[in-house]
Amino acid sequence: MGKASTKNTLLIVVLSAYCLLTLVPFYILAVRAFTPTIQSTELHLWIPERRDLSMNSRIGDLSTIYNVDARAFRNAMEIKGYLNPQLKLSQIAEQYGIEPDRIRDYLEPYVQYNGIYTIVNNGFVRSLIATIVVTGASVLVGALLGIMTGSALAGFRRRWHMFVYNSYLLNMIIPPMMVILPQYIIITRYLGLENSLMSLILLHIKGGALSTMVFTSYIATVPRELKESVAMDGGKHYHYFLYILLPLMGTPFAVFASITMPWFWNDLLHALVLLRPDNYTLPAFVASIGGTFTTNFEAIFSGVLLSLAPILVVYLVFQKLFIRSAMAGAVKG
Amino acid sequence: MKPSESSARVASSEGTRTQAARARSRREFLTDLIYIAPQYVIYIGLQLLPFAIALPIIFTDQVDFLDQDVNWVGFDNIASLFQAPLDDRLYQALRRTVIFSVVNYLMVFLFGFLLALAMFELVSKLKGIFFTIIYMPWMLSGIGVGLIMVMLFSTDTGSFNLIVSELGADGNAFDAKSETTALFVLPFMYGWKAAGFNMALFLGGLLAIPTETIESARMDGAGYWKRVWYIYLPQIVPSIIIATIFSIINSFGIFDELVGLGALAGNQNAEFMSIFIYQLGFGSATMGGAKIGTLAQGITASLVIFLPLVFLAFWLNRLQKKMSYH
Repeated sequence: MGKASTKNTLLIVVLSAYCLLTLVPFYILAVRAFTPTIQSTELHLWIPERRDLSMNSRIGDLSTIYNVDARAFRNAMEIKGYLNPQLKLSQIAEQYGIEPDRIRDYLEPYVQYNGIYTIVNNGFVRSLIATIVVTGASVLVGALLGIMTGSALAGFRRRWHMFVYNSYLLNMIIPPMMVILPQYIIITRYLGLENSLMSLILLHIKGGALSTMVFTSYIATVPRELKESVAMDGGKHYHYFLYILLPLMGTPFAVFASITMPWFWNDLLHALVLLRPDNYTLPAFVASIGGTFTTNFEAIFSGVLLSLAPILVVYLVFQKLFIRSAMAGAVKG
Repeated sequence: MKPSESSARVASSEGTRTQAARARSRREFLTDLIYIAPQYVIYIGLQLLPFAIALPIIFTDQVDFLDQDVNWVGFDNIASLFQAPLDDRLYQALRRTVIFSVVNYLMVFLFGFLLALAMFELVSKLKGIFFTIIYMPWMLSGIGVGLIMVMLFSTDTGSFNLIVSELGADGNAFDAKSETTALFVLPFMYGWKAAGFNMALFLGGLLAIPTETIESARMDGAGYWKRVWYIYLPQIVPSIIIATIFSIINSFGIFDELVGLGALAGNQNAEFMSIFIYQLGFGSATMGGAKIGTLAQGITASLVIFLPLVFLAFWLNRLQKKMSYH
């Protein structure tokens, strides 16, 4: 007995250590998302104190360091014509007769929360909405189509049912990169869905091993008598589908949703290929800040953190569901 | 239908009955079709039709998606992949992809299998919390993992490098943009991200082993690692095969993490097969990449490189089905 409990203690220690290590990158990400890029070469294990905006700083320097858009600044301050980037803020206030506080109010957020401010100003919210729309629609419509397929396939009453089922399994072994170029041709040329969120949703709901497997195998466990009783009462298949089957689909839907949601939420390849920047979903948006502001680490890491946050919250709220689904998926294999 | 009615019917005519049955089976077929078709049409159109679209393009000189002047060139594309100037980049990309895939496959066991063993043996209330945390990185996007690597391992600004130099070692321990990082640190991070996923896969297999089997081995005096080798591993082969298929397909197609490492912004060390194909297809269009070849060559490369993998995965899939039935 003593030996068993020593082993258990050892396991707890090892697993705790692993879990702590797992959390370290998340913690550093949270710190770095609020660490000024200019302090990147120093080690920060806690969010550092910010310097206040100095009226002695030059507007040109603010543009380079904090991604202040000089033109937007000029418009906001109603300055006409060329603005010398060498001018200090105090000089601008004097020269153009602007209240120093007005300049301060405009620029302070750039200095204080540069990362968040930069990504929000560059389309984060739009990307967030696009991602929520794509993920939500993909999960819901994908599940509906999966249930429809499953309702017909369950039990494999005909030989061709098995053929359909197996052809969906093929999806598991085709890497997305292998078909992306011809897919692009089909979607842009034949469907005319260039730069449309619809194209992403279509690629997500096209069906595959997971949805077919989960729904077909679950529907197969629904007693046949239920279907027969509907038929006996003169009901059609859609009565059975709507009133009997759909209300029973809670469990397989949870499995389907919790496994596919991270995939849909984080789908970079299709977004990068099929969308243009004004329609980017979050992963592509994060990739584009990585590309355009290559030096503004604070903005990049804020982008990673903020695009992770929503799905992480969903995960932590429904953690039991996610874990049960992961195990269920594994057993089905 | 009342019994008296139906018996009357049987008596009346054998022919009507078969006719009715045929009509019913036709109705059933139509219903099946209506319910299967919506998803299947999309599936055929976006998953199988691409192969039909790709096949003729392989034998042409189509430069990009807008190219109007397309000529037949026979097998030139396949040949050109293995000739200058493309061959060097192809070999490099292939070499990196293969090394990465092998290391990445080891990580499936280093993380997934060992964690599954630990969780399998553990008796504790903390199990749920452990599982939640181990599975958590799975929520991270691939691009997020790549950028976290930049955050940790960049020269001079990487937090990990800064910690190492704080501890007294001088210089930079890692360079996020180097090939070593892409080949050996990236699989480590990928293993970390997929740890929960693979653990669930293996744990599912372990939990399916009949307890009597484990107990009788214990009775016979088999030590722990002997049990792992002779009981656990052979019993979870179906899980191992599934994990292998996932690992192969994901490793060869790895893309997002490499974009995070700057593969599309000029970091040649992160150019794996998927990036190579992407550059051939979309090169000039997005994010500063330069056009290195034609679209036709890109499609050729994607088919030539991935086809053997698909066959391998297909074979593994069949093997898995056979094993889980007996």
